[in-house]
Amino acid sequence: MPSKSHREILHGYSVVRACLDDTGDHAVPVGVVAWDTPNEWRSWRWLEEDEKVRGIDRATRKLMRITRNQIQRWADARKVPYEPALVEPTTAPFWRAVSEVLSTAVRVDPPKAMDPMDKPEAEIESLFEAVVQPTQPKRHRARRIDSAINAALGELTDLIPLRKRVSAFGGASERVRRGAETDRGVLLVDGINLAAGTARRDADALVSRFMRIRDAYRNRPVHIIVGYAASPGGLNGEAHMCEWIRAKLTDQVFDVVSQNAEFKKAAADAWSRLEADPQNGAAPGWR
Amino acid sequence: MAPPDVHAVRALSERPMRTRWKPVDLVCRRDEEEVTVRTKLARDAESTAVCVAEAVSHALLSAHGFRMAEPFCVIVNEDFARDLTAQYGFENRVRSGRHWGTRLMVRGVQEVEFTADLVDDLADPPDLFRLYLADVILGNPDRRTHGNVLLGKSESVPRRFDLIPIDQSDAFLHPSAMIRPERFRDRFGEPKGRMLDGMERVLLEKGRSLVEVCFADAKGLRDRAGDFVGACHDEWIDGAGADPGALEEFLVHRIDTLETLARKDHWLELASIDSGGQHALEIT
Repeated sequence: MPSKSHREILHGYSVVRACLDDTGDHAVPVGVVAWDTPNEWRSWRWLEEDEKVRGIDRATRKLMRITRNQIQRWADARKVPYEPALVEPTTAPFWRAVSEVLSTAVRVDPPKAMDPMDKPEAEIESLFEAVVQPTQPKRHRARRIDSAINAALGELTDLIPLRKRVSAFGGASERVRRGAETDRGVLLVDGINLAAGTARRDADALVSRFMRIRDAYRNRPVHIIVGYAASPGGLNGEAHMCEWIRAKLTDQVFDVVSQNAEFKKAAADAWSRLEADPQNGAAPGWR
Repeated sequence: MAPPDVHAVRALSERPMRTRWKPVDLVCRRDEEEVTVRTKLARDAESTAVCVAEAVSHALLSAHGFRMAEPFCVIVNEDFARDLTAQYGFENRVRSGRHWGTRLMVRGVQEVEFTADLVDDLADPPDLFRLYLADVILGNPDRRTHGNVLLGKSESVPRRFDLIPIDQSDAFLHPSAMIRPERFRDRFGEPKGRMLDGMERVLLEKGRSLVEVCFADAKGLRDRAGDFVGACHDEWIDGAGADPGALEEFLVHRIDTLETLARKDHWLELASIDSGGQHALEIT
């Protein structure tokens, strides 16, 4: 007979929903909670003030705040109404109890299993974006992928300038997230959030933009490195978008969380190719 | 007058709710309309007494000005009662006939464990004191339990919520009290009724006049006590073995002695303290 620990979800998540009708049939995701029992970790991510989900009005946002505070008190006390024993918020029984006690506008789904998170605090953001798919301000989206790429690049951020303007097809110019240019070639580093609701559109735009840039540098090698933020377990169905970028643009495509070392190495290698002069070791002509 | 009849046609809840009386959501038919009703199924004398407590309380609280969930008599036929018993695994079988229910409120409504920080979200904070007095009259000690009040988006005050009493199962001192009418009368003077957090702050802010007005409003319910008991279907009175006369006497007695049961002097004294913690000067 399996022990109790085999009957509980040790690495799991639950979706927070807001009901938009009186039957509860139309409920939209507005947040996620995730936990890791062996590591005694749990976290959540709720819709923020500057993020939008269709149908969520001010009153519902207030009810979300009230419910979040309520769950926080239960978590602090390790006690959920009608649950006879104390329950830890890092375990599935806590979230199952919460899901069974909330039955009105703001609810929590029963626990579901998930692959353990490598970097939980970063990955819950991706989980939130994949499940809730909010409309976020542009600066919010840019900030998120910027910080993921900066963290992955480490000290290389000091060497590869931010918001580099480069030439593009037809005499136009484009900005890339980070870039460097020498006589020996061009290094372009950019990122994309494949957990977001806009992932498909963003991937198409990124591929198109870089193809136009590459066209302007026919006489020099162009090193393109793309970092992406993935949804946990590919929940957002982003695998084909990753493949599309690889097929059309570059094979240097990395998950900035789980492949951050590979991402950094690719950027460092490309940087050294731009910098080194195999003929006489002279400094390249930086632009 | 008892709530309108609706006919239960199918179960919506997979399991009963975790609360003590195990309500379930049933889809019911009312003329051509389908309505989802959170239903307290009568299965024995005590759970039938819950229907009595809910119906009488609902009538009183509605008359007292509270926004309430729409009430129904949920008719469950013999076969459906048997299958509901099987689905929910109730020890006592679900009775065929009428059960207490209210329209399920979901959109813009949240069950809460009311805390003081929610006072500012209320459309009408004095509702906290009105509800306390009503609960004292009803002998309902169970208002502080999670889910026994709802916050519902106010139609009249933007960005505020109405306080909606939703669970009155324990009125009349607990369902076990009314099913023994011979002992019930001896307990009419038990205080019961518990305030929600934040109520004292409201009294401090609003002062003595709120206490006086709310007591006067509550006392005004006395002449309608018979109507409130009349809101209970005879099936529930019979099924619980309750005495409708005793229920009416209970309400009248408690309204007549409300000043003592609800400690009016205490609240007047509290409401006389100014915000600096000092007694306000009375200038005559």
